[in-house]
Amino acid sequence: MPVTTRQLLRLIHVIEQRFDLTNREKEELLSILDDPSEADESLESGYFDWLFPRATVKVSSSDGAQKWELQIGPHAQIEAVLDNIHLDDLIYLFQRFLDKVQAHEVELVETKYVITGSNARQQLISIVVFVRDDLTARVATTYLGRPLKSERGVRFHI
Amino acid sequence: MLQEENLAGRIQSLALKSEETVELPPIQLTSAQVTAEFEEDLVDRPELIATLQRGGVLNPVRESPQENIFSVDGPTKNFWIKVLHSRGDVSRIERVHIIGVARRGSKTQHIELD
Repeated sequence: MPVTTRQLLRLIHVIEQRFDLTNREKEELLSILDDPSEADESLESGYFDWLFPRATVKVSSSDGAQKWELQIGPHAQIEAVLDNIHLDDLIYLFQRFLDKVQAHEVELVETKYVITGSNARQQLISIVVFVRDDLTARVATTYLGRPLKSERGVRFHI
Repeated sequence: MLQEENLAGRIQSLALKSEETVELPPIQLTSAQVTAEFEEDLVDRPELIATLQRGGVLNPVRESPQENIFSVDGPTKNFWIKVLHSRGDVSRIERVHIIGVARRGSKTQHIELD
């Protein structure tokens, strides 16, 4: 779906606040975002990815039994910015996931998990995480709401 | 740093988008044409290149509302990828970007927290 004006304004705000960019760089980037069509194409093609290098956060379950490294790449970070999903939201959701896993003694396996739940601001968000045997979890995509199109896979309510 | 030459030409590659399965003809990609969201996933790059050399079936990822992420199976791995084609020529694939890699056949698990 095409990026909305509101989403673009969020990204523009983030770019304007970046102290590591020169004014010229900001002007060039913002000029791309001036044209919704060009903005859409540039976002989808990964043109802005370099602005959002991988973020890595250590996340543990509340009892400390589960210790994971949550990694968020450029693609997911940009999606999050566009939807006003914060890094803290992703950490909060993943920690709740670990707490549930721990409480129900579910064994995590190396696969994709679609985690849906509310953030601290009571917004329903979903994240798709590639969980790996080396105790890293890589966020592949984030979005508001639940995955409407999802038909495959196994569904757990834990 | 911004790449001046990129800016001068603005956006030359467009992301392939589809709600339906896409059958790709065999395509030859160099290593440089396959990038990854997480550089560790590049260890599986040869399998993806070999898979796409044989022609691949791209399935839109149902777990994402975006229409530009596709799932493709290699012999041992399942890849989530973005396919970037040249502006004006959809058949000319310029780059494939790996979003994630999982074992082939592994089931996606849905977790409802609320």
